[in-house]
Amino acid sequence: MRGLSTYLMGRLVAAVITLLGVSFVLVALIQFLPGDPARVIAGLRATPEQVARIRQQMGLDESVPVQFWRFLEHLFHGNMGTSARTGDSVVSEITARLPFTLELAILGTLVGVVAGITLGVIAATHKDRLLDSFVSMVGVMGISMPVYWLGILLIMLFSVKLQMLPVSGAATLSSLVLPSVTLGVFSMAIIARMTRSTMIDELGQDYVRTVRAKGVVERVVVYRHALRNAFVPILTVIGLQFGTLLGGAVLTETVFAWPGIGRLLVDSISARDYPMVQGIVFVFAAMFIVVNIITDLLYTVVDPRVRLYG
Amino acid sequence: MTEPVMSIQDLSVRFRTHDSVVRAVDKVSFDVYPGETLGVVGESGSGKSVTMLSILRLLQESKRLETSGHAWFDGQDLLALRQKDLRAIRGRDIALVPQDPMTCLDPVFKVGNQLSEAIKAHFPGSRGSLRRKGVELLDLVGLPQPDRQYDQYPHEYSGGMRQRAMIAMGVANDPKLIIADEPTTALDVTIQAQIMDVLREAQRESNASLVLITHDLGLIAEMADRVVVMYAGHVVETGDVATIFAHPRHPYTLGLMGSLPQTGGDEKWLRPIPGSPPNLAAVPSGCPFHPRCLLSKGREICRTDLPALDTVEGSHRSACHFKEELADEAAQLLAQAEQIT
Amino acid sequence: MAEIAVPESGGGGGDSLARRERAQLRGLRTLLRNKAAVFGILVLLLFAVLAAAAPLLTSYDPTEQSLSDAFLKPSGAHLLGTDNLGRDILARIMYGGRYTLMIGVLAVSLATAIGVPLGLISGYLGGWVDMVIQRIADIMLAFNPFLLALLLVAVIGVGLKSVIIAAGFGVVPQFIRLARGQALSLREEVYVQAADAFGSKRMTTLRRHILRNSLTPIVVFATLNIGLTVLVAAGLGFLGLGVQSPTPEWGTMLGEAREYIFYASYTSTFPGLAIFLVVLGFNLAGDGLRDVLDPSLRA
Ligand SMILES: Nc1ncnc2c1ncn2[C@@H]1O[C@H](COP(=O)(O)OP(=O)(O)OP(=O)(O)O)[C@@H](O)[C@H]1O
Ligand code: SF4
Ligand SMILES: [Mg+2]
Repeated sequence: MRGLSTYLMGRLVAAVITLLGVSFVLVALIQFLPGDPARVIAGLRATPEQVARIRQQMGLDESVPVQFWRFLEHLFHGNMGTSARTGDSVVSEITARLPFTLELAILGTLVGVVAGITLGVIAATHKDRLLDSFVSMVGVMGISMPVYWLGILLIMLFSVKLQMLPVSGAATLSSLVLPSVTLGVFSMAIIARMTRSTMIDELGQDYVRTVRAKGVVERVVVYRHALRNAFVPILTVIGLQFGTLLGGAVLTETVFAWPGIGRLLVDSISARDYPMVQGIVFVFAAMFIVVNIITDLLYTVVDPRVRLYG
Repeated sequence: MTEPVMSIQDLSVRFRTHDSVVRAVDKVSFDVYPGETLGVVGESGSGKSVTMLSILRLLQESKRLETSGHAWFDGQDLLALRQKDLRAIRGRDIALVPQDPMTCLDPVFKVGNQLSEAIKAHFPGSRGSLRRKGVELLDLVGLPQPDRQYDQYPHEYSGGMRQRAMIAMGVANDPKLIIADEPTTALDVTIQAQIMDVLREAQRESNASLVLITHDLGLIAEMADRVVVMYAGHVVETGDVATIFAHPRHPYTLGLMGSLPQTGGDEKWLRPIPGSPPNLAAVPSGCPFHPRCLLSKGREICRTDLPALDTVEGSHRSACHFKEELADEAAQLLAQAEQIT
Repeated sequence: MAEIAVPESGGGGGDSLARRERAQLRGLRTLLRNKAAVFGILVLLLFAVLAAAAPLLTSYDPTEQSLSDAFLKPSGAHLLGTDNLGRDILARIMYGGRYTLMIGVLAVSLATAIGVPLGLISGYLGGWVDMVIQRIADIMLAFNPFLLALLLVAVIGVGLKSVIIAAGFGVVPQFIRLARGQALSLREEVYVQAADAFGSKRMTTLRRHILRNSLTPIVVFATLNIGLTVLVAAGLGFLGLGVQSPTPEWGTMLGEAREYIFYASYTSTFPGLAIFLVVLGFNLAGDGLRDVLDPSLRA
C-alpha cells in the first residue's frame, strides 16, 4: 500500500502546483487588461477617487509577485475579493450558485458516461456491421454538435412543439432533463468513440480468447472481462473530457437560463467584473483537477496493477 | 482401430487482408484417438495455432476470416455447431491450454476467480465449493501455497506459475481432449520439465487425449504417441513417433530432425533447413516446400503439382512426390550429406 | 533440447519512388472509398464556394437592415428567411462562412505555431525544460479550451482578432502534448541517435529529423482540431463575446436569434446548422485523413 500512497502523493503535489499556476495566470493576466485595470474594473462613470480605491483594494499598485502572494493569502482564508459589479463577496456569490452547476455537471457526466459506454460497447461487439456504422455516425455528429444549438433545438422540440418540459430555470426535476442531455451529448460522443476502440482492442486480446475457451457466455466475456479491462483508458477520457464538459456547462447554462456559475461568468465578463471572473475560473479549474484526482483513484479500484506503479 | 475422439477433415483457414489472402491452414486432415498424445510440429508460422483455434472457433470472427472443412467431435461438426452448443463443449469436453501464459490471463481478476469461472461455466456451484475445487486444482498442478495463490492476481505470478494455472484451468472439468499450444516455450528448462510432468499427470488422471503443439522434437519423442508435421499450412507427414523418427519419408521432417542436435552425434546432423518458411500470403506453387527442398533437385513436378498425403505404410503418410527415394537409410544419409555441401 | 530456427521474414528495404507513389495512390483511393470522409470534404468545399462566391450568388447585403422585412419566413425571395432586422439569412450565412473558415484555419495555425515547437523541444530535450513546459501545458489544460478562450476574451476584449487568438490558445496544450509524444518516440529511433553521434547540432537534428517525421500526425491532428476551434469561436459569438454584430458570424447570429425561437425558430435553425455542418465536415475529413495517413492516431 506504500506504493499507492506515494503515487497519490505525487498526483496531489502535481495538482497543487497546477492550481498555483492557475492562480498565477489569473493574477498576472490583469496586467494585460488594456488601459488602467482599475479604471476598467471601476467602470466609466467612476470618480478618480473610486478608481484609486479599487486600485488599492485590489493591490494593483503592487508588483505581480506581491499580488500573487496576496491572492494566495486571501484564498487561504476563503476570500476571493469583492465583485466589481455588485460589491458582494465573490466567494458568497459563487457558493450560492455553485450547487446548480455541480448538479448540471454531474448529471451531464452521467448521461455521457452511461450512453457513451453503452454505444461504444455495442459498436465494438458489432464491428464493421450496421450498428457499428450507426454508432460511428452518432459519435462524429456528437463531437460536431454545438451545445448551444443542440440546446435550442431541444427546447424547440420538447418545450415549444411538444409542450412537455419547462424551458428554463432550475425549479423542478424535469427541468433538469433537457440541460443534462444537452450537456452530456458531447461527452457521450467522445466516450463512445474511445470505448469502441479500446473494446475492439480488448476483445482481440489473448485473455479474452481464454475466457471464451472456457465456454463462458458472451455477455460475461464482453462485460465482465473486456469492459473491465477497457475501463482504465475510458476513465482517463472521462476525466479529460470533464474540462470540456465544464466549458459546455457555461454555454448550456446560458441557453437554459440556468442559475449556475457558468452564466454568472458570462455576465461578469460582459460587465468586466474581473474579480468575479477570477474566482469563477479558479473554481472551474479546481473542479477539473479534483475530478482527475478522483479518476486516478478509481484506476486503483479498477486495475490491481496500478498499485505497483507507485 | 478405435474411433477417434476428434476427426479433422479438409480444414482450411484464410485471412483476407486489404491486398492479399493469407492461407494459414490449407486442407488439413488428421485424427486424434482416445487417450493418446498427438504431437504437432512445424516451424513458426506453419499454422499450428490457427488450426487448433479454428477448431474451437476461437479466431476472432470477422468478414476477413474464412474457415471451411469439418471438425468432428462426438458426432457433431464443431465448425457447424450453434454457438450455444459449442459453448457447452468448450472448456468442458475440449480444453485449450493457450500458447502464451503471460497474456492469456485477465490481468484485472484474481487467478482463482478465473479458475473458478472455468468450472462455473459448466458446473455451477456455491462460492465455497468453487473455491475448494479451485484450490484443489492449483494444488494438483503444483503451486506451493494454493490457498494463498488462489487470491493473487496474474501479475503476482511468475511465468511458470501462470502456465500451471492455465493447465489447471484446462483440466478443471475433466475434458476428453486437451489442446496444449507450446505449453513450455516461454519457460526456462527446469520449469519446462516440471510443467510437462504436470501435464502428463493431469492427462493420466483424466485419461484425456492430448494434442501437444511444439517446436521441440525432443519433447515429441518423449511425450507423443503419434506426430503430425505441418509446413506452410499443410500436413506434410504423419505417423507413429517411432516410425517418423526412424524412417522419415518427407525431406522437411528430415530437415527438422537435422536441426535436432544428436547427443554425441555427428556435426553434420546440426544443419538447419536452408531458407525460411514461406510467406503464407504467397505460398509457392506445387509442393509448398520446393524452394527449400534438397530432394527435389529442381524437378518439374515439385513446382507444378501439390503432392497428396499418401500412405507409406500402415498409418504412416507423407506428402512428397519422391518419398520412395527416402526409403532406405543410405538415401537419408545421402540427403544429409548434400545438405552440408 | 532443440528449437527449430525461426528466421525473420525479409522486410525488404523500401526506398523506390515508385513504391511511394503507389502508396500515395492507395492512400487516395482509401480516402475516396471512405464515404464519410468524402461527404465531409464535399461539405467543406460547398461552404468554401458559398463563402468565396457570395457576392455572385446573392444580391442581398449581409448587413443591410430593412425593418419592414423583419422575420420573413423562408420563401422564394429569401430562401432561409430574414432575421429580426430584416437581413437575408442565406446571405449572412454565405458571407459568415468567410469568418468561420478563416477563424478555424488561423486559430489552428496559431496553436500549431505555438504548441508544436514547445512540444518538440519538450520531448527532445527532456529534463527541466520538459518539466517546465509540461507544467505550463497542465495549467492550460486545467482551464480547458473554452474557458481559456473565455478568459482571454475577458482580458483582451471581443472582436475578430481576439476570437482567433482566444480559440487558438485554447487548444495549444493539446498540440504541445501531441508534438512532445512524437518527439519522444522519434528520439528513440536509430537515425536520430546516429545524427547525434556525428555531432550535428542538436537543433538541426531536431528540425531535420523530428519535425519532418512528425509532420503527418501534426497535419492530421490540426485538421481534427479545426472543428473544435470553430465550435469555441462560435460559442464565444453565441455569448456575445465573439465577433460583434453586425458582422454575420454564425455564432453571433445564433446568439441574437435565440431570443426569437418561439416565433421565428428558423432564425436559429440555419446558423446553427451551418456551424454543425462545417464542424462535421472538418471532423469527417480529419477522421478520413487520419485513417489514411496515420492510423496510429486513432483513438
Ligand atoms: N488474424 C490473422 N490475420 C492474418 N494472418 C494471420 C492471423 N493469425 C495468424 N495469421 C498467420 O497465419 C500463419 C500461421 O500462424 P500460426 O500462429 O498458426 O503459426 P504457428 O505454427 O502457431 O507458429 P508459432 O510456432 O510461432 O506459434 C502465420 O503466417 C500468421 O502470420
Ligand atoms: S514433393 Fe518435391 S519439393 Fe516437395 S518435398 Fe517432395 S521432393 Fe521436395
Ligand atoms: Mg502458435
